Amino acid sequence: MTQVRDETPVLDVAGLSQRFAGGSGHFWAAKDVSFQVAPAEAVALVGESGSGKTTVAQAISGLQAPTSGTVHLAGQDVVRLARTRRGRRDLAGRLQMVFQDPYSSLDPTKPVFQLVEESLLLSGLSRPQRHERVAESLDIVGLDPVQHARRPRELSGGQRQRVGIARAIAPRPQLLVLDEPVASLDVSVQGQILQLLDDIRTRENVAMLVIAHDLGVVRAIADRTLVMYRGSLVEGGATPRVFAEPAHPNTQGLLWSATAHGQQAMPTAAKIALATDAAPLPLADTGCPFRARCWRRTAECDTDVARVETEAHWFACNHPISASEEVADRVDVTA
Amino acid sequence: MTDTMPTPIQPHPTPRSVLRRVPPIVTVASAVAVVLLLWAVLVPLLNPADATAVDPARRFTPPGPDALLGTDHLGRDLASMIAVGLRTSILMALTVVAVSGALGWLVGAVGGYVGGVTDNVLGRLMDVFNAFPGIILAIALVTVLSPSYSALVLVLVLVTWVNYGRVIRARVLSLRREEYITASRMYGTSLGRILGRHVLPNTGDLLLSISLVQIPNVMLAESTISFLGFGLQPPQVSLGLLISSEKDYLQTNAMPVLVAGAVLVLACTSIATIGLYLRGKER
Repeated sequence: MTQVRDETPVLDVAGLSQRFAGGSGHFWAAKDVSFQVAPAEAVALVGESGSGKTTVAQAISGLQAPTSGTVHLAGQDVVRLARTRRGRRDLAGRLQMVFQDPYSSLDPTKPVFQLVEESLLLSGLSRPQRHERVAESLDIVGLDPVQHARRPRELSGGQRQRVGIARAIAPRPQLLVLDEPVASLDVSVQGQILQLLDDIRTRENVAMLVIAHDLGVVRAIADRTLVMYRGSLVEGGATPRVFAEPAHPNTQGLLWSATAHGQQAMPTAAKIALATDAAPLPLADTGCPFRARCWRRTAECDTDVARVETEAHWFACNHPISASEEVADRVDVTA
Repeated sequence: MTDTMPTPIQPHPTPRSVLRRVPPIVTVASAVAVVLLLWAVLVPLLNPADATAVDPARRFTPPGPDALLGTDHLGRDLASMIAVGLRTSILMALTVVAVSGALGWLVGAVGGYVGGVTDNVLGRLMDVFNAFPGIILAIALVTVLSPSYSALVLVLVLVTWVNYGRVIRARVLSLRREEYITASRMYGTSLGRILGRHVLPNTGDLLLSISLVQIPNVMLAESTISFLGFGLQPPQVSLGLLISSEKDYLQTNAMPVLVAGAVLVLACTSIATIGLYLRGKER
């Protein structure tokens, strides 16, 4: 949010690009991605599958070195830290990740207490200190001591995700990267986990970067939302603003398709355009990445894309949807 | 808070409920294995220490109170000979399985986890060992090394470790994509610790089930090689050696060959049955 932007950011991503070799040659999985996360701020990174959200999350977590660009966590170069084991240990104290799949993210052979302790093993804390932290973290996520000796298969999906969150907060990190934290949970459990994450953010003063495709999740948890398409950020701003007045056609498309009602309200031209299969773009492409599926494109979108910045909101589009424009049932979708 | 409620946990299986689900053939196999094990352990304790010593005065004694199953052409007590042969066989199989399991696990786990060039080199190495027919390679090697107990162990390890390596590698290839391994890597955990803390516990079931199939294989291989004269040498006692030395008297005194052969077959099939049952249960 604007008022926290002045503080030193916890996370500073600048010009992050990641090139991958795909079936039809090279492509940008992330292209010139830049953003910041302020202390205790929750930022969401949304986009459809393949938009590059996970690529960005992996670069930030030091799991994959980017082709170019920098990632700084509280002033420290993540890419450099991640190169050595000692650096990764240091990094683990500041940045922790909550994974999407609470089944695959917990070793099935270990009891809950050990699973949580894992993130502290190389922290240099003594055994009693670690145990105290583990018990505290498990208490925060609402798992009572009865469950400490259980193994993952004896827990429900929601409980497993609580264990994953406890493991992530145990080292008291400054930033939590949450990769689709509730995507594999029942709808009834999703709300509880989101509430828990929100509580943790207030209580532990930890910043969060939430990767999600579910816009409902984003609205519940994020102060600020960034929309990604084909590796590029196309729109960003305060979450209520982005949801109420999306300017980029891609954002509008995501909002439409988020609800059955929105899908009905979608204009035919947009429906046809969004359903198009878009060919991969050449590496040197300078046009709008969304143009092949955009119902508002013109010739200039092939070569150029305008970036518009207003207070608490920015977007990269030559033909943004303006707030005064009649867009079917916009209010309903975001209500 | 529905998700913090204790979830219903599967009741712990009682011995009786486990027995009911085990197929009869596996129950029979387990019983046979126990009987043979008792034979190997108890018979030498009941018989005098020199029961397996050569005693020309006692050759071809028929079964009776003196010698439960009679004696062979050297006057050795057959029941004791088989017990000692079984011990040799089982001990050698356990040694070979332990060493080749450790070697195969290490090569498979490191190759599968590290990937890239390391995996390629280790994979080709396993292909090479896998390409030779085991028993022929074993005979060739043991001849070169001159037949002895330790040479036989070494050779059997060399022809069996690949069975572990390949299966463990395949499992580790999928394990390393698990997010808990990714998490562990993120924490700066060393390769050795990841292998020990996560990969070993998550491949333990495979080690057990491969071993249960490998034990009868090794017992059979040891007997075959010893029978052919390339393995253990007298005065060492082995089921293969016993069959080999008694086969010339098959027409006059068939008991030693028949009993030793039957024991070998029963031992191998019962352990293999249990092993295959356990392996099938994992799937």
